[in-house]
Amino acid sequence: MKRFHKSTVFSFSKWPFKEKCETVFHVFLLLKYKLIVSCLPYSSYRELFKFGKPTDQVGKPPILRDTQNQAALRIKNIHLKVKRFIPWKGSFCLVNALAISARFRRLKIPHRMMLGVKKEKGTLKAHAWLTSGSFAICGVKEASSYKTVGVFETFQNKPQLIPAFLKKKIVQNAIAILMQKRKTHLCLPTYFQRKALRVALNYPRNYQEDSAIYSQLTKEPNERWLRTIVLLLDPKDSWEKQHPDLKRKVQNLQEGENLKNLSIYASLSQVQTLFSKAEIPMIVLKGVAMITRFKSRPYHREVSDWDALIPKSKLSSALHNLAQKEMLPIISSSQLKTYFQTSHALAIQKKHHRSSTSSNSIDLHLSVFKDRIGKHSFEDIHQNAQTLTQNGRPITIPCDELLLLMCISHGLEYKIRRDFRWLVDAAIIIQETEKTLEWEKVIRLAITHQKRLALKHGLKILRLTTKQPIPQNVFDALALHDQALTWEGFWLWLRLLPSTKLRTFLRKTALFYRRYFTTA
Amino acid sequence: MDKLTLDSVVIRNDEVLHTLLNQETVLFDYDAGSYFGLNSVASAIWTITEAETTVANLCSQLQGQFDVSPDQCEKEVIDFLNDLLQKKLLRLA
Repeated sequence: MKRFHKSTVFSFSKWPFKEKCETVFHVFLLLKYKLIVSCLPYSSYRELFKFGKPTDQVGKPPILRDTQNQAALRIKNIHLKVKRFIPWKGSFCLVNALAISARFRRLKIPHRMMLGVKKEKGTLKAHAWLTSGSFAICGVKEASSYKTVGVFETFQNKPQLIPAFLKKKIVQNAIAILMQKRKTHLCLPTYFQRKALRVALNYPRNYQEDSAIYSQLTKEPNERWLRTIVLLLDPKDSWEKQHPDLKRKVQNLQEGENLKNLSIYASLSQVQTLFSKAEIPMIVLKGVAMITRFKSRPYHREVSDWDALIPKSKLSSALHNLAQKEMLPIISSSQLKTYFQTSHALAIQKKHHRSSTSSNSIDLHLSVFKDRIGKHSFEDIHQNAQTLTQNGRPITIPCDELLLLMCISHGLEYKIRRDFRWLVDAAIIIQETEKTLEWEKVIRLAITHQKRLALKHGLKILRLTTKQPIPQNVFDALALHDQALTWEGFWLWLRLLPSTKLRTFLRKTALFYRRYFTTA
Repeated sequence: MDKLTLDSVVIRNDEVLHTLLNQETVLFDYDAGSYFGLNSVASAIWTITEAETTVANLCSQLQGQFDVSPDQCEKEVIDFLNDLLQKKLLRLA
């Protein structure tokens, strides 16, 4: 047993009361499980190992909430402090794992205890370790040389009152509302935006993980990728402090030569020059950044604007610089025209003026997107699909059916009343793949992704507006009604209700969350 | 416990956790809380008993894999299976 040094006792006396209590309780738990393991027969505590699973039968570890993250780290730190003074020799990994597991069960923190073996001098040697979310709690360092025999997830999730898909929907709605409120190209994700996106994507918080997300997102374009690159940087961290991999990848995206072929590049390069003179680091994201990856011709959807991230500390400087050059993108007719400088901007400008007045705006949208159909060939994607690479790695293009579903659900969920761009995309996909598109697969995917209702209404709108050849049996198959569909419909149409009160309420809610989470 | 014969059908206990370690199988016995290491021959038996199989079929498969006489194979396999049955690592179907 190690001796307590005077300074240890002194520093312990200085700890906050709560921490002292937790430490004492942790020591008590360690002693309890030490006694159990040493003195009692295995049969008395074998229930703890009842629900073991082989490693290939367990999925990804559950994601911890912020409060759980903090609690897990707190317990880990307490354990690290305590284990230096535990009054027994040897490793006793099982005792540690059981004690911490008990603690985690009490606090309802999802965790996994793992048992492993290795062969040493002809005999089997066992080891136990514990993880929680992405944290290594105890014994993980030594575990690398052991082969896992079983994983024990003693934490049982209570049935959630709100179904998971509904929660996701709520988050998505929150994101959509926040995204709509953002009218400047200087995208600074607020705490709530980042939190909501993180929750929606099931990703942990720290920014090193963010660069992992980035690599995953850039690996293959998918629905998530199309939506959410905004989340990548924490505005609290400066650009210089970001992970080198992240910086390199973003730089690669920015240096795409083909970006220059787009008219939007003119405004982008103008702002880039302006910012570089003012020493404001800037990262171009989402649409424009995506197009650079699809080489010679634009991706099947047009890009009307671009998004960029700058450090929060540089915001006022950036705004000042933009205002000096009359480039501040406030949505007003004159400034919009000045800023965008593209034909598409004129359409947006007209739409902006007329959208609030009458249903004629729909005619205007239709005329705009009918012009656009045929400008870009969807075949480009297919022709280039095999050759596309990102940093030497091949890029997997989603199948036509998934692309169509993504396009419809993405468009419907975000800006059905204001922007009809998704109709162009969907129409192009259907026209170009008329002979090969498997409608059954589209329906199957929609059911899997809980987008059945979105698909149904999206296709209806498509058939009405663009006379697309959509078979009737597709609508018949989508007409099936169940509970999930009702909820899906409720949350989809909630956003489409033309109620000013509702909109105000939603905006207030969003503001409340933003304020709450910013100050919390 | 019934006496094990060549016609007996055996299958491994689903609740037993196992893993492959350097071409040998390691079993974790939940009831006893202990680990068992199986050598290559025993590992082969463990692999075959993943699905229901008769002892005779098991022996014939082992004879194809290992150089062993039928009599010795049957005797040793039955002894080993009895051992596994006693420890509830295996069960009669």
